[in-house]
Amino acid sequence: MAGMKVEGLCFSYAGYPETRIFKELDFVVPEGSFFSILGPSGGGKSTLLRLLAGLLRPASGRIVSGGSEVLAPGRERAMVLQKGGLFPWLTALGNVAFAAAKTHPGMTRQECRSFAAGMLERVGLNHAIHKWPAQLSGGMRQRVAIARALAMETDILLMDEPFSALDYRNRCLLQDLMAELWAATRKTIIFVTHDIDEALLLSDRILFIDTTRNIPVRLLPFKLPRPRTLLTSLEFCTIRKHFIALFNRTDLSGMPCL
Amino acid sequence: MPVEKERYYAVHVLFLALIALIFLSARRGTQELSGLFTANPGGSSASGSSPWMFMAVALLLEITCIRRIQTSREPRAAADIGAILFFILIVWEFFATTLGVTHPILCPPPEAVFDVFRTRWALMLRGIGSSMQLLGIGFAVALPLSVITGALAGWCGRFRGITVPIARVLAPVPAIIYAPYIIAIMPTFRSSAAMVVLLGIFWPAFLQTVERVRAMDQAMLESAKMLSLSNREMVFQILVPWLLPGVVSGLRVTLSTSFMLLILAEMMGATSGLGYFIKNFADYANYTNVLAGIILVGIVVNILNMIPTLLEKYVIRWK
Repeated sequence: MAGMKVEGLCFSYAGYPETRIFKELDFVVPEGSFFSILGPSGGGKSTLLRLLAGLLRPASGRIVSGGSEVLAPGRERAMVLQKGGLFPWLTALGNVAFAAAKTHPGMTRQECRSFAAGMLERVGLNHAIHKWPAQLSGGMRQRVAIARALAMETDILLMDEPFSALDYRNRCLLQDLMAELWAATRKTIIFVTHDIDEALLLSDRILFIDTTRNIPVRLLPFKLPRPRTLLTSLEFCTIRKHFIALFNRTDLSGMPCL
Repeated sequence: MPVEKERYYAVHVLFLALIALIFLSARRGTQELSGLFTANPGGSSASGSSPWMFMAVALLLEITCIRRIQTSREPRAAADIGAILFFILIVWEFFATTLGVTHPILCPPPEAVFDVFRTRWALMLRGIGSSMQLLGIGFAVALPLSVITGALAGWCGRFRGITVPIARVLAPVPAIIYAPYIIAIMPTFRSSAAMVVLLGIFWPAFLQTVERVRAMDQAMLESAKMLSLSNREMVFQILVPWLLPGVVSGLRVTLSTSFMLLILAEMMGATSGLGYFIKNFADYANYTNVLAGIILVGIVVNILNMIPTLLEKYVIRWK
C-alpha cells in the first residue's frame, strides 16, 4: 500500500514541549489520491508535511507509509519545496540526474542523464536542461524540482506550497501540469497550500488545519468533475465559500468533521 | 553616417616622447663613457646601466594600452591611465636622467631601476620562490584546517558555542604582532613565517566558514535529506560544493592580507624572500634595488589576486 496513515500524532517543537502543535491527529491518505493540506499561514501545514516526510519526528503517535512506520526520509517519498531547493552547483539536468543516481543505484551515469532528460522533457523544460539554477526563472526552477522528485520514482509525492512564490501565469501552468502528471501517474500526492482555489482545483480530499486557533481538524472529500476550471460550477463555488468561511472563523456549523 | 572610432592620440604621443627621451639620454651616456666629461651626477649614474629594460617596459605598457583601448568597454579610461603613466615616466626620466637634478641615491634614474630586473633576476626569482613557498605552506595548512573546523562549528551547536566567541576575540588581533615572539620560539625562520601566515588566515577563514554553513539554504538541505544520502555523501557532495564559493571569495581577502604579513615577517628576520630583498637593500641604502623590489612586489601581489578571479571563472561556474 502506498498511501499514508497518521495515528494519534502529537508534536511539539524542541525546547517547547508544553506547546503542542498537534494533539492526537488521525487521518488517512488513500493510495493514489490528490490530498491537500489547507490552512492559513503559520497554521502548521508545513510542519505536518515535514512529519510525513520524516524530516521531523513526532512526540508520540505513528505515521505509516507503505506499510512501515516513518522514522526518517525514505525511498518511497519525494518532496518538492516552496523554494525548490535545487543544488546551485549542478545544472538542471545535473540536479535531476543526481536524484536519479541516488535512488537508482543500478543505473550508469549515462542512463541517469538520459532518464533525467526524459523527466525534464515531461515537465516541459527540454530547452533549458544545461542551465544553472541561478540562470532559471522561478517557474523553471520549480519545474526542475518537480522533475527531480519524479526522477526519484517514488509512490508518494509531498509538495510544500510549491507554487506560492510564482507569478499568476506560471502558477496556472504548473497547476495544470500537476493535474496532468497526477492523472498520468496516479501517484499519491500530498499537497500543502494556503490557496483555497488551488486546493479545490487539484485535489480530491482536503484536510483543513489551523493550529493557531483551537478548531478541529477537518477532512473534506469531494467529487468535482475533471478537468476542472476555476469558478465555473455552482458546486465549486459552494465548497469554496465554505473554506473561505473556515479561514474567516465564521459559519463553522454544517462542515463535515473528521 | 558611420561612427568614427576615437583614436586617443595623447597616449601614443607621450609614448613616443618617452622613447625619444630615453634615446637622447642613452646617447649622452655613451658619449660620457667614451671619455667626454660632464659634471652631471644624474647622467653619470644612469650611464652605468643599460636603458634597454626601461625601453622594454615602456613598449610593454604601450602594447597593453593599445590592447585595452581595443578590447576594454571603457577605452577612454584605458587611454587616460596609459597617458598618466607615460607622463609620470617622462617626468621621472627628464629630471633624473636628462637633467640629472634629482638626488642620485634617493631618486635614481628609471633606467637604473628597471635594469635591476636584468642584473638581479636570479635573486628576484629566488625571492619570489621563497616567499611563495612560505605562503603556500601557510595556506596549505590554514585553509583546510579553518574550513574543516569552521564546518564542524557550523554543524555542531555545542562546538560553535565554544569556538565562535573565542574566534571573535582573537580574529581582530593583527597576526603580525605575534611575529617577534614566534620568530623567537620557532626553530627556523621559515617555520615562523609560515606560522604567522597561518595565524593571519585561520580565524577570518574559520568565522567565514561558520557563517556560510549557518546560511545554508534550508530547502536545499531538506532536499538533500529526502535523497537519504549517507554522511559521506552529505559532506562531499553537498557541504563541500556549498562551501567552495565562500572559500574562493574569501581567498580574495586572505591572499592579500597573508602576503602582507609574510612580507612584514620577512623584513624582520629572513635571509631570503621578497621582504628580505627590499629590507636588505634598504639597509645598504641601495634605493635603486629597493624601488625595483617594490615594483616586483606590486606585480607579484597583483598576479596573486588574479587567482580567485580565475578560480571563480573556471571552478565556480554556476554563480
